[in-house]
Amino acid sequence: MSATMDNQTPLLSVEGLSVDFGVSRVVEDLSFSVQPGRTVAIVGESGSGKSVTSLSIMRLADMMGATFAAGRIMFAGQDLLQASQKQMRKIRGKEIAMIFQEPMTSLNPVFTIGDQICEVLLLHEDMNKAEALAEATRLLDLVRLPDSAELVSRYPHQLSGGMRQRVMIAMALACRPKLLIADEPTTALDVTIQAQILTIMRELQKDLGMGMVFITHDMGVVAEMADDVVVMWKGKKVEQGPVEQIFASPQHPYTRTLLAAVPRLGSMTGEAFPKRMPLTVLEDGQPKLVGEERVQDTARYGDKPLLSVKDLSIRFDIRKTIFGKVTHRLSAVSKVAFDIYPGETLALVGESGSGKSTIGRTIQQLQSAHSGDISFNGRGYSEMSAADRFRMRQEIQYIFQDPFASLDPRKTVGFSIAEPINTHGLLSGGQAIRRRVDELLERVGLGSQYADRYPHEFSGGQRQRICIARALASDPKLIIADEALSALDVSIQAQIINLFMDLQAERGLAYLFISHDMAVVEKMSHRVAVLYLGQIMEMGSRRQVFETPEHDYTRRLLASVPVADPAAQRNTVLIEGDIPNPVHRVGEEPAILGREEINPGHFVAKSA
Amino acid sequence: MAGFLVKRLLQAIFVVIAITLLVSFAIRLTGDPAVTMFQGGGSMTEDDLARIRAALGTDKPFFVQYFDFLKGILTLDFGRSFVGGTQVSTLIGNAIPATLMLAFVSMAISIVLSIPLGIMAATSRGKGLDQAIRIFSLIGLSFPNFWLATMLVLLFSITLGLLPPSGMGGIESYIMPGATMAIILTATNVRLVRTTMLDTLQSQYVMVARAKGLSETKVLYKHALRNCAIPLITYFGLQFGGLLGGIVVIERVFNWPGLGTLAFDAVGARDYPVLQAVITVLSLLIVGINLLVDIAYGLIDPRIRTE
Amino acid sequence: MTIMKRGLLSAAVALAMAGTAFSGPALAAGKLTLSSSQDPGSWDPVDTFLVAWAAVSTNIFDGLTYRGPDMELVPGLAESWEELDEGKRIRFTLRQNVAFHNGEPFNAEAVKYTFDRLLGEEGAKGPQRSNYIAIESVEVIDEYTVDMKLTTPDPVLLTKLAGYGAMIVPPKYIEEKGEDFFNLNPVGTGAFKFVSYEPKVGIKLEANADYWGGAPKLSELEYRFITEPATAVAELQAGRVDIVIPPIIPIGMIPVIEADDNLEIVSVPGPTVDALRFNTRDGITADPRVRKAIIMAVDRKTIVESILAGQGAEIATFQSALSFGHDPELAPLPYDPEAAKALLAEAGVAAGSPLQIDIRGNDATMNEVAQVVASFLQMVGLNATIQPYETNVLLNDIIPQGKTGAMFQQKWGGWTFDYDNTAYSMYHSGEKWNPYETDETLDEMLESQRPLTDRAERERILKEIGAYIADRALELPLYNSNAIYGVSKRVQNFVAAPDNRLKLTDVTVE
Repeated sequence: MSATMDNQTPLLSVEGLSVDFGVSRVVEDLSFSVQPGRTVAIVGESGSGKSVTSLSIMRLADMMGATFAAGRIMFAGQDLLQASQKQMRKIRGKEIAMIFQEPMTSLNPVFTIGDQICEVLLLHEDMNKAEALAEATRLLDLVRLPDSAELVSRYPHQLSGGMRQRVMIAMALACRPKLLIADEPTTALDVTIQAQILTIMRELQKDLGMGMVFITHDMGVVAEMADDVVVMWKGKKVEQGPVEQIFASPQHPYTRTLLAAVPRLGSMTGEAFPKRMPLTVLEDGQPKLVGEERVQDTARYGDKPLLSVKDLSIRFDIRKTIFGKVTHRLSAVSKVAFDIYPGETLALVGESGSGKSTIGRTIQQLQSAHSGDISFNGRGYSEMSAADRFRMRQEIQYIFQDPFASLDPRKTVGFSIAEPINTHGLLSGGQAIRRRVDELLERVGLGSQYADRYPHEFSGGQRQRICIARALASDPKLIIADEALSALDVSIQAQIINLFMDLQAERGLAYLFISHDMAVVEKMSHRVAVLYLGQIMEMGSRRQVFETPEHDYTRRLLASVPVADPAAQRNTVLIEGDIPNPVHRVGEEPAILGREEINPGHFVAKSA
Repeated sequence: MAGFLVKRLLQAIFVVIAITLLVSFAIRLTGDPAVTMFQGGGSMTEDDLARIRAALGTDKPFFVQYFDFLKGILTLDFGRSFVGGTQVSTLIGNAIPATLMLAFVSMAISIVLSIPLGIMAATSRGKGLDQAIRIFSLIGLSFPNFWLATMLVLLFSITLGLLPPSGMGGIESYIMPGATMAIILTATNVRLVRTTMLDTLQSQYVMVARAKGLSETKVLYKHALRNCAIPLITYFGLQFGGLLGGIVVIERVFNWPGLGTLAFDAVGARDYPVLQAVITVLSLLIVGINLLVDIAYGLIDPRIRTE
Repeated sequence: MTIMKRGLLSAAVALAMAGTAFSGPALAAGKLTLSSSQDPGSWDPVDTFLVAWAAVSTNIFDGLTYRGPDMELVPGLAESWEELDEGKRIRFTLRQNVAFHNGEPFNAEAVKYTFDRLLGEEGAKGPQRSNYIAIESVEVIDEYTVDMKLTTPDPVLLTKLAGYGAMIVPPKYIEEKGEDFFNLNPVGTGAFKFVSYEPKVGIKLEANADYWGGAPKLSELEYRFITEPATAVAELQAGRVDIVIPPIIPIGMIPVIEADDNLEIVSVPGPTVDALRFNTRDGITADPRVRKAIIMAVDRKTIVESILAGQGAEIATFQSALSFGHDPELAPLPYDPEAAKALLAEAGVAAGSPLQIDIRGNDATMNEVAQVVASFLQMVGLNATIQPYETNVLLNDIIPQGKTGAMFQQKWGGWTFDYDNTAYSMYHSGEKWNPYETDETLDEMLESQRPLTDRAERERILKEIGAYIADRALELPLYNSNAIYGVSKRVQNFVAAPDNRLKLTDVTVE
C-alpha cells in the first residue's frame, strides 16, 4: 500500500486482483485501496480494464462471463470474491452503489423515476411505499432537482441527460452506501452539465463521508475529483499516488505520455495561429517527442471564401394535427451565417441541441434548408443544377463521430476508400485506383497492406484514419469533421489532430470542425463560432473567442471545462439550469438575436 | 386519441375496400356459382344458368355487385349465401366466436409457454438449456401443422381415447386444435423472446437493476420483460393476423366451425357473399388487433403514452 | 362383390322385417351419429343438387314415389299411379291419414302446392326446377287424387319424383313461417322430425312416431358435417360417429377401417362413372381406329384393382351397372396392346405422337389413374401429357367450348340411374357436354326413346345406344366407383344406399 494513504483500515481494498474473460486476461494483479471519505480515480484509455475492475467489485462482471483468477476484494472484513450472488445482492445498492456512464440508458424507460428510486429503498430499507416515496423526494432535493415532488411521477424520457444522471446519483445514494463507484459518470454529458454533476458529487461525498471509486479517461475530471489516482494501462496498474503527485511528477512513462497528450484549455494562449505540436509517444518504454512543431498559418483570407453560409435556417416539424397542420416545431438552426476560407479551420462549438451537426449535414446536402443559402466557390446551391450539386459531394467530404458505423462491415477498407473515386469517376482502371488507395492508406499512416482487411480488424483510431483516407479519396476542398475525435482516446486524438493539420498544410484543405470539446477546438482552429440553440452567440478568431470571450454563454462554456491541473483554482460557482428544449409551438418562434462586431472579425449576439 | 382513432378507421376502410375488391374480383375469375350449384350436372341449360344467375344477382356487372356489397356492409347486411340462401351475417356470427376462441386459446398457450422458455434460453445463452430450447423450437418450426394435428388425433383420440378428434364443444375440444397452433407459434415465439431478451439484457438499465441488488427474477421479469413488451406485442399482433390465415387448415382438420371453414367452403362453392364477408371480417379483425396493439403500446411504454 | 351381396341380402331382410313392423309396437331407442361431407346450407328441397342434402332429407321428406337401395320404384306418398294420354298425364292416388310433422294434413293441395312452388318463382331461384320441366301443371281431382300434366313424356319422371325437388312440402307451414324459416327448419312427412340445425356443424332429427310407414327404430339421428376425410375416419375410430356417408373415405384409408375390430367397410356400386372422352373432331383422335387403339392400350382391370383397390367396376358404357339401360352382355374392348399398336400403325400415327389428357385437378384418384393411363399409352408409342384443371374451369370453359386436349375426363353421378340422363346431354348434337360430335343416327336414337312409356322398348333402345357409342369408341370407359361407407359394428340392419339417400327407418344400434 502506498505510504501516502492514511493508516486507518481501508473501506475497500483490492489485492492482487486478476480477471479473465475466457482465455484473455483483462485485469492483472491489481491492488489499490479506498479510504472512507476519499476518492480514488482509476484512469486509463479504452481496454485498460478500468470498467471491468469496477464491475468486479460489484461482482456484476460475473454476469458478463468474467472469472476471477486471483486476488481478494476486501470490503467490511469480507472477501467479496468469496461471497455468493445472494450475499452480494444484500451489498449491492445498500453498501456499495454504482453510477454508470450512460444516463440516457441507465434508467428503465417504462418505470417512473419515483418507482425506480423507491425500489432500492423498499429492497434494502425497512420502509413502506409511502415512506419510500417521501424519501425519494428528499433524495431528489439532495441532488438539487427542482420540483422533486412532481418529478417522482415522471418517466425518464421526460428528463434531460443531466437530470437523469442526477436521478441516478439520488438512486445510488438512497441507502447511504459506504462506497460509491462512478464509472465515467459525466462522459456523455455536455460540459456545463458535467460541471454541475461533478460539483454535486463532490459535495455529497463530503456530506455523506463515502469512499468513492471514480473511473474516467478524462484527466481534467481526475484533477477535479480525485484524492488518489490509479493509472491503468493494458489491464495493469502502472502508477499510483496522490493526485498532485501524479500530475506534478508522473513517474511511469505511460502516465507521462498520457498527460502530454491531454489537450489543455488555455495552452494556446497568446498564439495567433494553431500549432502543430510534436507528439509524445512511448518508444522502447520511454516517452519521446516525435514530429515537428509548426505554426499552422494555412488560411488564405485574401482569397474569396470557399464556403459561404448566409442566413441559414433549418427547422423540423415535430407534431402535427390529423389534418397535417403543424403545431410544434424544432428550430434547429436560425439565421446562421459564416464563411470558410481556403486552408482555414472553422470550429462550430456548442452543446447538445445547438444545431451544429444539422448545419454540417445541410452543407453536405444530407438535409435541406428551410431558408437561406449556401454557396461554394461563389456559387449558391440554389442556382446549381442537379449534376453540379452531385459534384459538390466530391468537393465536400464528411467524417462522422463513429467510424465503425460509417464503414460497411462487409466491404474491405480498400473498397470503401475507392468508393468515392468510382462514384465520381475520378480515375479509371483498377491499377490506378489501387495505387491511389495505397497512397491514401500510406498517407493516413496505415500502410497499403491494410487495403484488403475489413473494418472490424481495426481499432477505433485506425478506423478513423480509414475514414479520413476515404474522405481524401475524392480530393475535396472542404472536410466537415463532425465530432470526429470525440470517440477516441486522448493519445489517439492527438495523433489524428496532427494528421488533420498536416493534410491541411499539404493540400490547403479547409475544415469545418464540429465539436463540443473546447480544448481540442482551441488546439486546431483558426476561427471559432459558438452555437447555442441554433444561433451563433459569438464568432471570431480563436484568440478572440478563447482569450477575450464576450458572450456570457461562451464564458460559461469555457468555465465549465475541467482543467487538467489539480492545483488550478476550482470553479466552485455552480452553474444552474439545463439547456432548454428547442421544440416550440408554432407561432412562438424563438427571437432571432442581432449581432454586433465588437472588434474586427469578432461578432457577438446581442441579448434579446 | 380521437385523431388517432379517425386515422385508424380511415385506414381500416381503405384496407377492407382494397382487399375485398381484390378478392371479389379474383374469385369471379375462377368460375360461375350457378354452374357449381348444378354440380356439373347434365340437365342444366343456358336458360337454367341465366335463371340462377338472375336469382343470385351475378348477372349484374361486377361493379354493381361490388357496390351492393359495400352498401350492405354499412347495414351489416352481407346478403345471402349462394349455398342454401342463409343470411351471411348469421353464418359469420356463428363462425367469429369459434375462430376467435381458438385463436385466443392458441395465442394464450403460446405466450404462456414462450415467455419463460425464451427468457430461460436468453439467460443461459450458449449453454445446454439454450441449445435444447432452440433445438425444440427448430423441431416445432419444421412440423407441418396438419401432420402435427393428425399425430395428436392419432395419439389422444384414437389410441388413448382421451380427447374428441374434432368438433367444437367443451373445454376438452379446444385442447388439440389449440395445442397444434400453439406448438407452432411457440416455436417462433421462443426465438423471438430469446432474441428480444438478449437485446434488452445488454441494456444499461438491466445492469443498473442488478447493481441495486435486485434478484435475477425481478431483473428479468420486471425490468427486462416490460421493455421487451413493445417488440413482442408488435409481433404477437402481426402473428395474430397470420394466425387467422393459418387457422383455415387447423379448422378443417379439427372440423372447427369457424371463419376458416366458412371461407374454405365458400371458395369451393364460389359463394361470393360469404367469402367477401369473411374477408371483410378478417380484415376488420386484423385492423382491430393492430389498434389494440397500438393502445397496448401506450399502456406499456410511457414514451408513447405521453407523445 | 361379396360386400354388395351382403348389402342386398340385408336389404331383403330389412324388407321382410318392414312387413312385420306394422304389427309390433314401435320401440324407439338409440341414437345414431353420421358424418356427412357437406353442409347444404338449406333444407328446402328446391334449393340444391347436393347429395349431402339427400343423405339427410330422405329421412325428413317423402316423395310421391319411393326408390330404396334396391333401385325398385315403389309407392311413396302416392299409393298408386297410372300413366294416361300416352304418357302425358299421370294420375296419382294419394295415401290417406298422413300428416306433416307440424300436424298439417298431407293431401292433394299439398302436392299441387309443392309442384307449383317448384316450377314457380321460388323454384326458379334454385337448380332443382330444371329436372322437372316436363311437368306442365298439377291438378287437384279430389282431396286424395291429383293429375300431373306433362308437356312431353319424361320416362325418368317417376324416378325423379322419388327424390330431391319433388319432395312434398307443407303449404301452410311455408306460407305462415316464410321461405327463410323453412330453409333452416324443414318440415316434411318423413320418418324423422327436424330438431335443430347448426350451420357448418350438424343437424339433429328425432323419430316421428306417427310415421305412415311405421315408427323408426332409432329415437335420434345426428348428422355432423365433416369435410376432411382423415377427420371423419378419426371420428369413426373414436366411436363418436357410427356411419361415415360417402363420398369421403379415401381408398387409402380402407385398410385402417378394416383393421379396426369395431368397424367395417360397406360398399356398393354407386352412380358415379368416370371416362376419358375423346376429341372426336380434331387431331389423331378424330380417327375411330386411333380411339379404339387407345382403349385397347389401357388395362382398365388393373386400374380398378390397383388404384381403386377393387372399390369399383369396369364399364363398357358410361353408366353404372344399376343404371336403366345397362347391358350386361356388352363387354368392353379387351386390353390388347399389340392390337392397339397395329391399329395405330394402320391409322398412320407416328410413334411418340403427343396427346393431352385434361382432368380435374382436385380429383386425387383421377390424377393417379391418368398417370397410369399415360404410361399404358407410352407403351403403344403415344406420348401423353396430363393437364389438370380447376374443376369449375374444366366444366365451364374447357369442355363446353371444345377446348380440350385429345382426351378429357368426364365424371358423372346422376342419382336417377337412367342412361338417358347422361347419354342425351353427352352425345346429342348441340348439347353442352357434347362439344365435338354431330351424328344424326345417334341423335335419332336418343330422341326416339324419350317419349316411350314402354319400359322394355326404352331399355332396348338405350342398350342399342350404348352399343353404338362403344362401337364408335367415343370415349375410353374407365370405371363405376363404389359408394364406400364406414360403419361401426354397433349399427344393425344398415343397408348401404348406392345414391347416398339413406333411409334409416329400420336401423338399430346396440
